[in-house]
Amino acid sequence: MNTFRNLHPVTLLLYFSFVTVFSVFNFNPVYLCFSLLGAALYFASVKGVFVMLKSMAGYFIMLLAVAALNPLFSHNGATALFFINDNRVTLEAFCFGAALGLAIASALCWFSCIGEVFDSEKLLYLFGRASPKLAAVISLSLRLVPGIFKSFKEIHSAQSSFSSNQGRVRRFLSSFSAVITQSLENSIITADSMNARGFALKKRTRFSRFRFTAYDAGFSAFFVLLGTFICVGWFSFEFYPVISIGRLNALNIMSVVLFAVMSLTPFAYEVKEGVKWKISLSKI
Amino acid sequence: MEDFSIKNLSFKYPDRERFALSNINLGIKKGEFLLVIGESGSGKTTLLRMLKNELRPKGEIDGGILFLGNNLFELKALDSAPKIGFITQEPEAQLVSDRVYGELAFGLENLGLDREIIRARVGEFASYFGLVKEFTKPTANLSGGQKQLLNLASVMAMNPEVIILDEPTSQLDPIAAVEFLDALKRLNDDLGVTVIIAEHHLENAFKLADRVAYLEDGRLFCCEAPEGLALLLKDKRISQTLPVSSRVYQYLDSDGKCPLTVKEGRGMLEKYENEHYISIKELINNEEIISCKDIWFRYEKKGEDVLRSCSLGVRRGEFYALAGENGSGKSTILKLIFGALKPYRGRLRRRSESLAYLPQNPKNLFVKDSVEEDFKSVNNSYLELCESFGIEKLLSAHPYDLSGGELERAAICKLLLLSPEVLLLDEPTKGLDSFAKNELGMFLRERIKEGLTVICVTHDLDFAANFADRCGLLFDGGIICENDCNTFFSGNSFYTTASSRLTKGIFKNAVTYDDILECIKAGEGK
Amino acid sequence: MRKLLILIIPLLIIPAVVVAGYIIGRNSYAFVSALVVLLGCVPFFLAFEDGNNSGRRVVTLAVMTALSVAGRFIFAPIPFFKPVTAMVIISAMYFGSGFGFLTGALSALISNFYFGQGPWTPFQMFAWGLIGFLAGLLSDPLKRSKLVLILYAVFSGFLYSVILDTWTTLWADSGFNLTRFLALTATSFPITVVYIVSNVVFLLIFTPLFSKKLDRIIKKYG
Repeated sequence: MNTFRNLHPVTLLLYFSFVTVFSVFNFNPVYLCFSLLGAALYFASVKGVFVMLKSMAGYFIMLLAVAALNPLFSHNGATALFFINDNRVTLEAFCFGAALGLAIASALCWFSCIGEVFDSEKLLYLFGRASPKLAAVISLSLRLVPGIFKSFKEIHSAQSSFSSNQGRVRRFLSSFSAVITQSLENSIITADSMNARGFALKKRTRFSRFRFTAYDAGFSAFFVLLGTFICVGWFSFEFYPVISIGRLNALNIMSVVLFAVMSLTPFAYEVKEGVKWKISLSKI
Repeated sequence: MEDFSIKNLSFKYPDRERFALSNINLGIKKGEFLLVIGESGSGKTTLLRMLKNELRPKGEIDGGILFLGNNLFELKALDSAPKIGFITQEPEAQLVSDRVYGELAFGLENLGLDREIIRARVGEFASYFGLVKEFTKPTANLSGGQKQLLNLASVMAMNPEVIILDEPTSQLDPIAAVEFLDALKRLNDDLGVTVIIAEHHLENAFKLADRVAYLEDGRLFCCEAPEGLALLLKDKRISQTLPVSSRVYQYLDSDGKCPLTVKEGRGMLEKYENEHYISIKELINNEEIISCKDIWFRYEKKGEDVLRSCSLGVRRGEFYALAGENGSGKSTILKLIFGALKPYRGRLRRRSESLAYLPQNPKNLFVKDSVEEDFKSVNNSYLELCESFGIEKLLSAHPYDLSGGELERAAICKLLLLSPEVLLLDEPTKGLDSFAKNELGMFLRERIKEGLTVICVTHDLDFAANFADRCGLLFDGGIICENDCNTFFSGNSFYTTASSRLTKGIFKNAVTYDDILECIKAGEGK
Repeated sequence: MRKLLILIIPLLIIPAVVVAGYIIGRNSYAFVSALVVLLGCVPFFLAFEDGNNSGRRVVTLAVMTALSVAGRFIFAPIPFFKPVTAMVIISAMYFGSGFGFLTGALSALISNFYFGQGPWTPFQMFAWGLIGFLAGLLSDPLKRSKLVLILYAVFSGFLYSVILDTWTTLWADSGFNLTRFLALTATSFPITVVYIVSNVVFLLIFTPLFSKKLDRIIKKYG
């Protein structure tokens, strides 16, 4: 099925940079609510509603904690609620804490989505465009990690017959030391195999399975346009000294609406494609 | 036209007295399938590495090598890399990419080829080698045989003129090894690519070769078609490694062409009547030291059962070999017996609690920087034991510098320092040549005389037939047949040794080369 | 062009970003800091791409990175024992500062594939990278004296904690709030200390072992 994650990595990078930057570096609760909503819905469509609700519960607790703790660090704000040790605890600081919690929650939620969508293959593709050699290193590391872990487990269990008189940490360390020896030894074979196939003779190219099509170009253009108009109409939300919103104009409203569109795009995409799939199946 | 012509080539490693190669003259024709044989240390690897600029060892070189008529040593790096492919023993360590398609593309990326050209080439070779399903998978998920096929495919994707393979099947199980050799032969037939391969197990490789070069102490003893080679090697120790048909031919001094396969070999023996047989030895001891009764096991709660109602009894002082396909649960049984895993149903009784377990990779037993340090950490009275086993000269070496056979024996010695009553071995012959296997087998037999019980999981049917007392076959989660080795192997038609297939219906119960000789001698004596 | 970029990024672009951030004001600090650490990694990446790195060196970098990433899994049953920092320092001591930076940065990037990417990824990359870079510069004294090694392990533990806590403060307060910074440092202090102790233990054990292993490989394969 055609899903959002099948868009070209460059398009996806563009999209996720926009939403994460807008979520991480922004404390305007209006935008943040849409951001969290979009991230949560998309996350649910990828991982299921139950998993999403579970992480939402976690985020909510974290949000409360951040909101409650923030006034202890920040004494800005005009509306003092009460005093602790001569330090003012202000309504504004509390509200800012809540917004901060919201920002953290939506950022974390978007990053969970990124974790689902941006697998190592896509990241390697992006790296490979800039630096094919570094991409080769990352690719090789990714190949080595599971092997190293496996041989550690094998060595460690093989050692269990001998080292009953040693401490746990020492046993781990000595097995790890053996893993290092094995890895260094194998690295020679790997290097030979690379050299035999002509590594570092001339500038490498990097092959990938991705193709940048007109479809991806269209989506990229769409995201850039959205991003531009969102920035143009950005409206500010001040917490200190008192909570204040600048005067809303048409541009501001457009900005918020477009931001909502942007946040909800992945979810909408999944829904639309799901429906299309059902229809095309029913025609068969 | 010759791909390689090697002229008066000699080579000496720095700080060594002896020449690793001396005065080699050899021409290798385009499209030839050349097999290089020789005992370990005879210079096979050195010779193969001399042919690949990137991997040539440092040292004193005399003489020269021409590649397609030009001096190989002056071949441009950008020509050498794609034109001459090289594959070594280790299936996994040669891989450089996390995904299968990345591995296939690696060499082409190094050549700076255009993305669309790579796409076409990679797709073509993935299909040819049957790697389409695995195309986007992580390389870590492949089996050993698939990994080695992938290494071959990624070298082939560069369109080489020659591929050089240094014991490529030594780490594979027999079925994967046959598949790999078949793929190689198909490449040679379909594409005309020249193949130069060093192997130490010749049962399958021998018949594929156009010519076989035999190296002895760094000298080229001869280079002949396989049919002609058998007689030339008659008095050499290397004969042990030849296919059993050829060995019998050597022994009989038969007329006509040397047989290379079982089919060709059966003709030689037809004249013998069907009355010679190997008598079955009675086993004296019936006390079961390990007994498993209807055990069930699975790795994950919702996973599939690996063992289903599996029963197995091992008697004190016997050598029990357990055979079976990959993934049949052989290693799992060993771990259950050892106690590293627990069955969820059934009864497992051990009459002895002192068991020792040798993992598939014997290197895993060593964590220190010398064999001695490792031994010392187990038991301080190691010296005595080592002397009685004749391995004291290995003590000062780093475990990773030992040869396969030495490492295996050192690992078993380390386990014997725990003075176990039962020794569990997981694929102990993996990567060993015939000589090392024999030494290992004899070593184990001696320990068994001293009262040790050995349970050995193996793919190596020849090893089992030669050294084990009883053999069991694991299939579909249980032992489907179990008997003394002679009865076991002569009863199976495919899952058996080449010797048994060669003599089926001719000599009863003959399952090893020695058995065949015994029968022939009995026939001659009459 | 690339060689020029390696110079321009730290000398011109990063200062320009900082100045621009200062002009825009407090709200941009968190963003600017993220941008600066990301840009800080780029020259090392570029230098590696251009450098004359043989197959051996490339594989060694991948192996050191994979060992430090796998180390996080391997030592997971032992609480707070994470060999990443120690492996980065060892890597830098024996293979140079550029190599050390890359081991650190790539370890962070790759291990977060397993443990979760987040806004902290660039800061982890930069922090471990910097620890590696400095260790590479100090490789001689580090190899010679155990005391220097211990001091450096302590220093790098704090450096890591300071870089990540600073970022958290900048993010949460749109500016540097000392109280929050101190509070964060104080709450993470016990963990930092445990990390430091584990790093010291790890380094003291593995530095001599590693140099022995490396010597053997060099002797064996040239």
